[in-house]
Amino acid sequence: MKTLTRTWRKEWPLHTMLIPGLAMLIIFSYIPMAGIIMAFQKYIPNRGLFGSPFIGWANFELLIEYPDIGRIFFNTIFIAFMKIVAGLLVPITMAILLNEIGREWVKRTFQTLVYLPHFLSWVLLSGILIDVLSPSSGIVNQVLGLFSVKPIFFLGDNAWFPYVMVISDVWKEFGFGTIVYLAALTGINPSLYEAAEIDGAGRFKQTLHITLPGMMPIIVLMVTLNIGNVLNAGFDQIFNLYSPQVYESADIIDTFVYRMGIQQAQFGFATAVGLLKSVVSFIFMSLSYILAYRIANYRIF
Amino acid sequence: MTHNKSWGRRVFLFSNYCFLGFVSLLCLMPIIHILSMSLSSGAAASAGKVILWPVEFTTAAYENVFGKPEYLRAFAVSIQRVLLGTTLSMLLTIMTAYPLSKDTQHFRFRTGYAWIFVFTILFNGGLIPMYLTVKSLGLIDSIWALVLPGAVQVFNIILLLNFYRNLPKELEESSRIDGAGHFKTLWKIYVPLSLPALATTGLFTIVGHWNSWFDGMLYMNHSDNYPLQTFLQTIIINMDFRFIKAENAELMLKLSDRTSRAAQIFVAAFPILIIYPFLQRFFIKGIVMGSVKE
Amino acid sequence: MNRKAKMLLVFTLILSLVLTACGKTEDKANQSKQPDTPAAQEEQNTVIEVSTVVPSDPYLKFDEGETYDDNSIYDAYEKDIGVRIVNKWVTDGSQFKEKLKMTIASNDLPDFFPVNATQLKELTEADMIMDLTEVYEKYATDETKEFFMKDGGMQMKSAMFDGKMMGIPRSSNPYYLQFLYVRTDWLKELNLPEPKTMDDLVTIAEAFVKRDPSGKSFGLAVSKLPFTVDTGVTGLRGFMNGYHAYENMWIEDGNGNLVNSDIQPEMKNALAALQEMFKKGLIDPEFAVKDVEKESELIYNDQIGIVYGASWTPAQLVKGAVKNDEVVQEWGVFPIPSADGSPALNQIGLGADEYYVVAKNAKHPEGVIKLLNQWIAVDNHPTEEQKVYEYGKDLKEKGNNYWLLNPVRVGNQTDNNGVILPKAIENRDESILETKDQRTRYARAVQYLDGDKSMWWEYLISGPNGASSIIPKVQEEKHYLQNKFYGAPTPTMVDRQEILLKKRDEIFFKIIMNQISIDEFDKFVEEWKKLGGDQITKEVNEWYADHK
Repeated sequence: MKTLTRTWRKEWPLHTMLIPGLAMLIIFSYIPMAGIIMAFQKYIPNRGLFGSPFIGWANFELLIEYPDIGRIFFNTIFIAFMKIVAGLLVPITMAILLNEIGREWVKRTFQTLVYLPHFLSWVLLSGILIDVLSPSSGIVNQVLGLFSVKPIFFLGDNAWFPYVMVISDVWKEFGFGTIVYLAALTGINPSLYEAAEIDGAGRFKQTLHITLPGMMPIIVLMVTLNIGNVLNAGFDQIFNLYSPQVYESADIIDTFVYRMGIQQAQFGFATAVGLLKSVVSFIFMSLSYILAYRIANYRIF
Repeated sequence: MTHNKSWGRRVFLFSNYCFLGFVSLLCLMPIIHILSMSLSSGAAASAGKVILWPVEFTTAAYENVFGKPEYLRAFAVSIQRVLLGTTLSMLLTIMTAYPLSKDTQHFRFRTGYAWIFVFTILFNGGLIPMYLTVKSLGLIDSIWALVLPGAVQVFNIILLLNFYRNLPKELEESSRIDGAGHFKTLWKIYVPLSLPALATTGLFTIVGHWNSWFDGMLYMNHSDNYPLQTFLQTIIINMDFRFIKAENAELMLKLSDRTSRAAQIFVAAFPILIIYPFLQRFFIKGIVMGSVKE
Repeated sequence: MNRKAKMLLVFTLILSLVLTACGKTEDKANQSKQPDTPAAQEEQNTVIEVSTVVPSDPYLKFDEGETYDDNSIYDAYEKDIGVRIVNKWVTDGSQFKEKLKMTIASNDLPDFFPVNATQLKELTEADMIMDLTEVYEKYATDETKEFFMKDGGMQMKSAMFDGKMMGIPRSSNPYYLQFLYVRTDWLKELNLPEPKTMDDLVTIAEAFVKRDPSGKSFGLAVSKLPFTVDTGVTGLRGFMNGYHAYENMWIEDGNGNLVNSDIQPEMKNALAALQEMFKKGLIDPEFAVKDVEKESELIYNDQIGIVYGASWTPAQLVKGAVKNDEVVQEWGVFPIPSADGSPALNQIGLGADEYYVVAKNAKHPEGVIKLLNQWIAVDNHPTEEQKVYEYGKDLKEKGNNYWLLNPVRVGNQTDNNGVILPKAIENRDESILETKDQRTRYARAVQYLDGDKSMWWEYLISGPNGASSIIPKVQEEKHYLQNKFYGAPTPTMVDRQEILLKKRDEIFFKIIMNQISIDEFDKFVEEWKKLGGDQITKEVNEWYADHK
């Protein structure tokens, strides 16, 4: 009992600090989570969340029994996974390369420029991508033509479509990641570099032995957080760019749920799919949290 | 030897500049294209004639935005939401990240708490319960509906708590010895030392608030209360020919959904582009650099 | 131990908060239902209030001081028929459906609002909307009742569930036909005849492609969603109808049963013909990713000279056809050609795909019927004073589209534009015009004849050889085919329609793009049946047995 009081006396300010955040979280996250039960209901608006009839797993069965469900899951994970990997490597590389630049204004200009595409919507970008990737007149195919590559219909070809999604998404969003990693780079002690220089370590070695380990915590953190997106392959992007002949490589969970929504008011079904996505993401995220803790002895959060 | 090395370094720097220049160009070209589109006539944009220079120059798309009396009001709502929302979120982030950055020896429940926060990134009840909650709190048509629901930004909290953890423990200890409590340590030591991280998370918060439009549509029943982005959604010229009754042929030739969408982006992104360089100062000049231990 | 105790405390706290908050929501819901009773006893002469939701429109320009909530049209309704309209919310047209879904899902309904057929069925089943049979019977004027019977009551029937009228159909003319638009200046230049058959169409397409030395031209414009009715221009429905194939319709099989048109052999013929055209380079190989606007670029830039489209297509073509007040592309409009001797039948729908419904607990359902009566009156024969319902307080055309503010709008189920307008415009005879729509169109076409080239499109729609002029013959000779199924989606449709359409689009696109052989169509038919198509056919026929 005594230890309890002592701990409490020592830790109470820490608890108090969490109260405002927790209160907001409870009101705006945990209470609305009651809506998850819709996944097991045939939701009827005028009977409300607690009066709608329960239908067990029927919403999930509709999903599982869908003839193409395997393909859809594969596409989702395939595209999302590649986006996670590329969305990690590209900003890290960019941040390191950018860090090599001494001139402050160049650094800033670059940082601003690469953040710009983040503001564009996929509705507009899809028009640009169709032009740029056009097999007949697109600049990409014209450049490839110089190397006598036959024109490729990037957006209409199942072999290419997922990669186009990954590359264009990384292009649009890498500015965001670059900012995070650059912020991490500023946290590295410059005296470490000076010491390395005196030891005769080259720039590359310094990067390998000082910069990367210095960024490691934030890298691990970003990986863990991004793994939560393993079932989010990017609805807006794919919806604006896909077409029936690439369904087999392009149809993802979210586009499928959208099309189902045209046929029925699918509150229960959409919630069921959302819940499934959450559970899967949660498992992946927990795994990566545990792995980081076991292997690197590092608590991400 | 040294001479040789600096030569290699020079080659690296040169190719680095070229590469980064190329990448920036890749990011800039579409923007220029869209800017040109926003300044071209609807007919030229529809015909796909605009590449990197406006064709049949006109500012009609912008006039269409700025000419509406709702524009200023929506702009004001957005400013208000950014100020309120960012202040609130940053306060919560700063305060929440602090206890969570302690290790278990100093704060035994930190991990439990951390998971309570992280859990909400992944699980949510969906739109309907969210809407019902906001409605039952009487927040419909109030600026707080745009500010409160997303006030706890778990991603930023995690980012910041990781930054806090890397701050030198000695500083904190000496402050504690001086008799400062947790609150004082947080404000006097942690906050000033974390400016780069705060600038980063602050930028994300500002951009997030500035860009979001869906909540405005959802929670605002009267267009007077729309934030800018929600208002801008309403000006896109969508042709619905099936009900072509007395539609305005003149407007159609001057504007198209492409020009209005393009203008929308610039009207929306401009203020962010203006504050961006100011924030940048903070990220790059790591004030704490010298004192971080590795 | 103490750690566990504390965790328990936290969770109890959360739980109690959850429970109290939920309790509160319910309380509120109950409260809002209470004040029902006194209002019902109100006198008839006083102004009644009805609430609704409104999609905003970028084309609407308000007079000084007016807004969606407070404007001369709402004032007119209050003054003329004693109905005060209150907007529960106003939102952008493109977001309207999304917000309405949320409004329905949270059971926060306004007194009346527009819904689609699926929502009508769901709201009926959930018992959230009112049976309007009696109110309509009592308050609808004779004019209104007549108005909805012009098509024999088909559209009204689609709003009936078990003999109860659950909604007011947002009626329109069901003869929403497809036409063939061809560059007539090129036809003349190449000395080609007008297209009468599908063979003609291919010949013309080939000639048009050869005409362009750069080799960047195509024959027929097609865009990414070519099968849906929403793709009013650059679609393929008209093309398929030329082969007597129809997109997702229920048609008679000759034995009194309904079958789905997507799996009929005629569809195979149409697809084979498209594949043939694709092979010859007559179709843009990138059509699958281009939306209407993107594909239209090719039309505006003289790379395509043939396109299927609805009667309003000229309003789309004008962007390329008229430049600097000069007509630079000449277009002609033709009835859809047929592949064989028998005439092509245009596939048409019901003409009503939306309905106004009244919430179950609305206090004044009669207000909605009164709004309906008034709209039908002022839209068809406005007095000078009633022009306020179209133009706002100044009673004259200013291009401000004030008519969009009328909360209940239904269109005529029949129109005789095709008979009247071409004659009136040709002879410049205003006297034979009957409706307001005709007068507007006439004025625009005359403006074109008087030298205002920007009105070129109206002349091609309503003028002597315009799209409208083709309609009377199609109607007289019954060169159309109407969907025989107009009920609400059947249970299997709700679950399986999506996969059937997905498979169909996937296979059809691949066939058209020559990625797979035309014989894959037969496999698709088998798959379609297995994936739920047979079950749907059964359900549709059960419905048909009751509704023949």
